[in-house]
Amino acid sequence: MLHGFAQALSAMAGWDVVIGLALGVIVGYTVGSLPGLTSSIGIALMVPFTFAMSPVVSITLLVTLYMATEYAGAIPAILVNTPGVPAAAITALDGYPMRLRGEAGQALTMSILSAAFGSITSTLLLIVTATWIASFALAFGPVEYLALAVLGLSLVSSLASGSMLKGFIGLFFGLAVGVVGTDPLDGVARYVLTDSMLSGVPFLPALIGLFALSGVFTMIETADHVPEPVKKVPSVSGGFGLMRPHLLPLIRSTLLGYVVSVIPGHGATISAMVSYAVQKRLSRSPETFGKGNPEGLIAAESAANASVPGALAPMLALGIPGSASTAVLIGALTLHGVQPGPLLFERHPEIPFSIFIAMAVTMPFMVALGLGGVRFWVLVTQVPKSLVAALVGAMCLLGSYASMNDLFAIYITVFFGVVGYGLNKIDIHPAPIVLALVLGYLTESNLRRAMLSSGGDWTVFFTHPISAFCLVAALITLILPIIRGKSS
Amino acid sequence: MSTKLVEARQGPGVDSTATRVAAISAPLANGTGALLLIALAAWLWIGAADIDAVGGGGLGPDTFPRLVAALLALCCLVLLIQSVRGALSRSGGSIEVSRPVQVVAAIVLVCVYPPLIGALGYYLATVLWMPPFLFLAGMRKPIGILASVAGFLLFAKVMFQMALGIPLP
Repeated sequence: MLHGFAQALSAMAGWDVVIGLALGVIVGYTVGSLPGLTSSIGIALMVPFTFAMSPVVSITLLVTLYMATEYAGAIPAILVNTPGVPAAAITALDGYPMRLRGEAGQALTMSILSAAFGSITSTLLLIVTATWIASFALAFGPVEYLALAVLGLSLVSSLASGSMLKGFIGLFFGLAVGVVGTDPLDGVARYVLTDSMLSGVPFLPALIGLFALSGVFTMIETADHVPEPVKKVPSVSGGFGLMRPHLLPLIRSTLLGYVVSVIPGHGATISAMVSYAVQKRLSRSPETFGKGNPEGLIAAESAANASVPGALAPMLALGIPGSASTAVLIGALTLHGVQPGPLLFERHPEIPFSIFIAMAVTMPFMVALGLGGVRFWVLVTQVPKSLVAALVGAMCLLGSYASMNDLFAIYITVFFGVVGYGLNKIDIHPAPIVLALVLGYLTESNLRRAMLSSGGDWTVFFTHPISAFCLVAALITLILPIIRGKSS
Repeated sequence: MSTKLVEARQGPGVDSTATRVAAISAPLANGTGALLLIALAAWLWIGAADIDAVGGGGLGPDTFPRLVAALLALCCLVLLIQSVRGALSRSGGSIEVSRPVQVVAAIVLVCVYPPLIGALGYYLATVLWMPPFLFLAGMRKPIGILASVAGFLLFAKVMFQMALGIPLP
């Protein structure tokens, strides 16, 4: 571990890392403050800017952007009751009533301090768990990897918000897109319509289309909605003393947020919801939740921000995305020639350890920017949606072109943007599609390797204990939401 | 498909305005989506026959695409049956698209953009493409539209061409 930190520190010694870190925080705050933009969209749009950067600077920028976006979503949630990111909807439940009571400054201070505590504590937990899981996973062969990929794909049950059937359709659509190009073992061309598709459907342009461009069409639907004007911009008020009466809920929600988000597919929203529900149940005055109880705000914010390091644990250690945003991060790392998974800690130790360092170092920046720049972020929430939609649309197409220096990339983005919007309308969301795009290669290559080495014996997946465990876990992951749905 | 005007209050302190909303039958939309994806699955299945089978033992390069095609078709078939049932029983609700004219026009504009870049180059294509896109998104002030286009092109030039060294077509 110390060797990893030493390598990361030497790779991070330079102004470019500091600039990347600061840029990530500023862009993250901007994305999070603008309702309609999520961390997945922000990361997908920033990836083209990172091509000229080293992998360490690039991942530092993207991870800090992810962290800052998840926090900044709380600002419009508290001030105008419009969550900047989905998880901030839970923050708004008590944050907005606090603002209506004239306690906006305190609510903002509490939210940033809860976020800081959640994030720093979870980063420490991430360092321990990710390195441990990765060292354990080093002994995995194709059989175990296939089972792991199947477990990852089974997360469709938690990523598909709504109908499970539609989640599966999204998943198989993503796998279908993933089989285009040269096959992983024999190098045979499959479904190749142009030479540009020999290495498969380009991931980043598809991602930009699915998440960002389809989101632009959705924004156009609501572009005539005027943001609620904030006539009096509040200043943050109170300091660390504000948190003293709420230390226990803060620690509890942080731990809960981390544990929930380590389970792949359970991102910030589920973590915040679970922590909020637990805090409400344990509270002496549960009837005040939803009416401006600071403990509700603290529970939601600390858990949502603890979920960022939590979602990174399965991504770094196993190569399985913990959330939609980490699926985009895996894509970004792959574009830089770095494959997340257990071998990452052996081959590129500077990457995971620079992520750990960046997450710890970013927090003071975030707190300073959050506490000092409230007036500016309030102004950002007032930017008209029409302007945001048009600029994000133009940025999607420019960023897509830059990813390949080829007009073909823009065609791919347009195709996936239009298809993604259509699928979204019938409740087939982009997250399962991206999950399949990320895990498709891992699934097929290891299925074929395992069958080759076992001489076509299918029972091999059940005789290897880790594989059997993962397959049973996948089955439970799939069945549990169905049972829960029926019982509710 | 039917359209209606919806009076939507758009936030405290903001006057309510009318937004046109198109409602499409959900079973019809789901059924159409299922049919299109079944066509994709059929294309995958048929295309698998053209994949050269190389290497000995284990699974060939055509096996996984066939498996995916079969599973996709199966799921879409279930969705199609559900949609037909919903249509027959007149249940299943509707899917609403707010500002449908603007959304369709924006989709057309986005589809036209890549060939426009191919024909005119990035900057000229963007000068022609962005103002109507901003207008569709809801921006009405000419100065705002002009400033947005100029600002974005300047950003593209400075950031992509000069800082990142990415040549734009």
